[in-house]
Amino acid sequence: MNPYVEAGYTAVTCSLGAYAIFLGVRSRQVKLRLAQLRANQVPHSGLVEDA
Amino acid sequence: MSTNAKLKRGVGVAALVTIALTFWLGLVVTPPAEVMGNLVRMLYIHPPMAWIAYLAYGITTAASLLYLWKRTRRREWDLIAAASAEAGVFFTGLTILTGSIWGRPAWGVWWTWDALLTATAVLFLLYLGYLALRQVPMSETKRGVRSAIAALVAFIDVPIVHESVYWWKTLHQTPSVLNPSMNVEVHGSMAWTLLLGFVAFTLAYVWMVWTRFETSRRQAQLADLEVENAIRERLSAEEVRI
Amino acid sequence: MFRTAVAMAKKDLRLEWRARVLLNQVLPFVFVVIVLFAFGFDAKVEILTQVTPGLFWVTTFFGLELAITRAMAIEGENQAQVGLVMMGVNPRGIFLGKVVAIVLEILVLEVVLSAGIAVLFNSPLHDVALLAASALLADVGVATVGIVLAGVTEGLGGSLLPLLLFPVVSPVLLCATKVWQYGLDQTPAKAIPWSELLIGFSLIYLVVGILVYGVVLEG
Repeated sequence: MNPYVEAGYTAVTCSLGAYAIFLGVRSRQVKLRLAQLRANQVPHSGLVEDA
Repeated sequence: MSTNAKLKRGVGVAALVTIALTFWLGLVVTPPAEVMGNLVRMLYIHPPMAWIAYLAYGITTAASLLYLWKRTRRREWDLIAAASAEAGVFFTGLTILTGSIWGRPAWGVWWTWDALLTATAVLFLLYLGYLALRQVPMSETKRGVRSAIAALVAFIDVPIVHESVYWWKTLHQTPSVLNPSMNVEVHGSMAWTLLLGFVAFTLAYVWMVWTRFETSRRQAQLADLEVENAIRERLSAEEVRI
Repeated sequence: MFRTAVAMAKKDLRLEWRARVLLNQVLPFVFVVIVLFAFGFDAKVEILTQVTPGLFWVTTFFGLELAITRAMAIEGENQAQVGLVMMGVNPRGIFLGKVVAIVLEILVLEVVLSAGIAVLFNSPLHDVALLAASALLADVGVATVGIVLAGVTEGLGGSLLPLLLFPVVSPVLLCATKVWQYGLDQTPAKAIPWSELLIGFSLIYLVVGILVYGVVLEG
C-alpha cells in the first residue's frame, strides 16, 4: 500500500477517535456532575425557577 | 435510557459501522486506479469531509439566524450553532490535512496556493475566529447575539472568498497542477465506496453535534443550578443572622 | 438615518481633529511598518517596487484596524454609546456615520502613505484616479465589516478583532492589490473584474451592516 494513503487514513482515524473520546468523556463528566447536584438539592423556596 | 439517548447511541454505532465499512471498501475491496494507483483511495475520505465542513457551516448559519430573530430566540439555537461550528472546524482541518497528504505525491508539494486550497484555508481561519470569540467569558445572551452576528458575517464571506481566489488563480496563470490527475473516472465499486463515505461522515457529524450540544446544554443547566444554590445559601445565612 | 449619520461622522472627525490620535500615532506607525518591510526585504528596491501594491495594502489594513479600534474606543469613553442607544438614536445612522468618518480618515492616511511609498520603494504612481477609486471602495468594505466586528468584540480584548476581521476582508486585500498592480503597470483594463468584486463586497457588507448594527448595539 501507498505510504501516503496509510498516513492519511491513520490521521483521519486518530483524529476522529480522539475527538469522539473527548466528547464522550466530557459528556459523561457533565452528566454525573449535574446528577450529583440535583441529588443534593434541598427543596427550595421557589425563589428561582427550577432548571 | 430515554428514546433520545437510544437514538443518539444508534447514530453513533451506525457512524462507527459505516466508517469501518468505508475504510474496508476503500483500502481492500476497490481496485487501484489506472493513473493514480493506490493514491485514488484518498478520494473516498477527502471529498466527504469537505462536504461536511460546508454542511456544518450552513447549519451554524441557520441556527445563528434563528437565534438572532427574536421570535425564535432560544438558548438551544446558540448551542447548536457552536457545536456545528466546532465540528466544521474539525472537518475543515481534516480536509486540509488529507488534501495536503494527497498533494505531496500527486503534485510534489505539501501545499500550493491553488484556488480551492486557499479558499479552504481562509474558511478554516474564519471559523477559528468564531470559536475564539465563543471562548471569551461573557453573559449568555451577549455571547449568543455576538457570535451569531460573527457567524453571519463569516458565512456571507464564503462565496466572495471563492470567487476572488478563483479569479486570482485562473485569470492569470496557466491551469494549475490540479487538472490532469484529478479527472478520475469514478465507477462501479469506487462510486459506491465514495457514496458510503458521504453517508458515514455525515452520521459521524450528526453524532458529534448532538453530543456536543447535549453537553453544553447540561453545562448551562449546571451553571444555572450553581447560581441558584449560591443564592439559597446566602439567603439562609441571612435568616440565621436575623 | 442620514442626518444621524452626518452628525455622527462630524462628531468623530471633530474628536479626531482635537485628539489627533491617527495623525500622531497611526500615521507614524504605518511608516514604521514600511521601514520594517524594507528591512525584511533586504532593502532590494527591485523587489520592493515589484510588490509595492501588496505592501501598500497590508500596511493600510493595519492602519484601518487601528482606526476602527480607535473609533470604538471613543464610544466606550464615558459610555457614550450606551447613552446614544438610551436616547434612541437610529443605530443605522450611527453605523453609517462611523463608516464615513473612518473612510475619510483613512483616505488622508493613504494619500500620505502612497506618496511615501512611491518615493521610498521607487514606484511612480500611474492611473491615480483608478488607484483612488479602488482605495475608496476597499476602505468602505473594510470599514463596514470592521465596525460590525468591532461591536461584536467590544470589551473582549484587543487581539480578537484582527483575528475575526482579517480573514473576512482577505478578498478585499486580494482585489485592491490586483487593481493597484494593474494601475501601476498601466494596464487598467485588466482591473475591471477586480473593481467589480470590490464594489460587490462593499455593497453587500454595507447592507449587512445597516441591517444588523441595531442587534450589535443590543448585544
